[in-house]
Amino acid sequence: MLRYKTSKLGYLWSIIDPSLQIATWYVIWTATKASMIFHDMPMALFLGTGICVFFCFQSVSKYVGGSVRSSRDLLQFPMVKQIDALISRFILESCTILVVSVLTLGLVILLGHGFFPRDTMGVVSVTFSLLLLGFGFGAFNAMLTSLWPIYGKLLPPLNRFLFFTSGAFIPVDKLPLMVKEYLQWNPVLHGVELVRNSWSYVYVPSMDYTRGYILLWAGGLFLIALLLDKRVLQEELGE
Amino acid sequence: MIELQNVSKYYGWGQDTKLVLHDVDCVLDTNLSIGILGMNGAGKSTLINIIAGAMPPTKGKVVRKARISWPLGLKGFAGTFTGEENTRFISRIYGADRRKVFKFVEEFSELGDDLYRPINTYSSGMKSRLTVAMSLAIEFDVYLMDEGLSVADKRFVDRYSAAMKERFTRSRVIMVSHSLRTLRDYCQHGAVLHHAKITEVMPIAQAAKLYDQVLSKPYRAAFNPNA
Repeated sequence: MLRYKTSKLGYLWSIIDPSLQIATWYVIWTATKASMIFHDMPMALFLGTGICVFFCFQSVSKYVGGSVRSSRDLLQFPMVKQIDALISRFILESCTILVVSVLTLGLVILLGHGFFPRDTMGVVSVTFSLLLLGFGFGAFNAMLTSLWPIYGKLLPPLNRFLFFTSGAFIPVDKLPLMVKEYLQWNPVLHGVELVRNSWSYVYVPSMDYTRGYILLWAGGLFLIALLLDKRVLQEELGE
Repeated sequence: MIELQNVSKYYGWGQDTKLVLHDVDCVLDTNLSIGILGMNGAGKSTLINIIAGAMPPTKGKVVRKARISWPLGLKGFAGTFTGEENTRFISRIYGADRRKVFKFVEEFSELGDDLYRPINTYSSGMKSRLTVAMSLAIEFDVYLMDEGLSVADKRFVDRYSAAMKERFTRSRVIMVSHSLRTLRDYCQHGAVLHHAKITEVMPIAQAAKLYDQVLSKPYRAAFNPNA
């Protein structure tokens, strides 16, 4: 429950993973000579903010989602509740991904591909909302996967869909209005665009993205998870 | 005293609902060591989890007026933690002195350097040693046991049995099992769990006789232990 993955290499991979994603999309966009469309941001910073913000959501949801299953043996202790497993994983993963994001974006800036945020508090508050969204989604997934293991199979495609529609590596603002209206349903896109808005000195998204929408999803998913909590406990401890 | 007040437990949804305990009213005297007999799938693990407080009943209430252990078995450890980390974790949640507990566990389990390896590399014999050592290291009024602990090594079984017998001069045990032989080693009193009901607590020989009847006609609908 509390140990981070199974080896120290896990930490190293946490840093390499987003950097690799940024590098991959950097190469793709450079090869297609599309660099001029990324708001007022250098491409590496555009990709860095998008991918790090998405990873904040994804990393937390992924590990919180697995926390109940991986802690099932500890549920034998009456004082250990499922919510303890969820919260401890949330704290651990949030701290890890925040350090990874700061290091990754710091590296981007240090290499001369970016600048410091215009509104740091704005970036922090939106990032925190996305961590909470990851927590809510992770808790929801943990419960649903326990009750219907088949749901676990749907998660990888669902995560990929959220990634591709999150604006992490695509300047969504340049897409046609109708597409943007559909994509606006994705709460992660709200987070990505709001972080870029707070980071940039010029960029103002054309759509109405709000922190409230992210928190509404986070709260709603967590509430459903809480309602399923008892039923999952009996599945995990059941005969 | 542990009192189950109108406790019911169901599993599943809709038509697939499985009734495990149905309106059970029962007092378990914590001055007695009680063995609860039940066939496989009768709901013994559920019952012990409900008594421990690890699992809430669907309906009803459990009143516990004693310091009760967790359900001792091969579960209950975090696989990625080492034996030493598990010891520290369990000491902390039960408010025990972790250095004292670890010293006892180290001596009693004789696991040596293996205590610093993750539990998921342990054999079941090693896990048993750790469980036994942990449970003896922390004092409880009542020990809950889900089946006997299968400890392969005879020398360790002898030490364990001696230590348990000594402990049961001041503590008691509530044990669930399908095996009468396991229960007889520790319990003078017994009850039978069948068809989602528990009989009243009676001398173990009497409970054994009743259990034999259940085994001989396992699914006889007319059987009602509370009748």
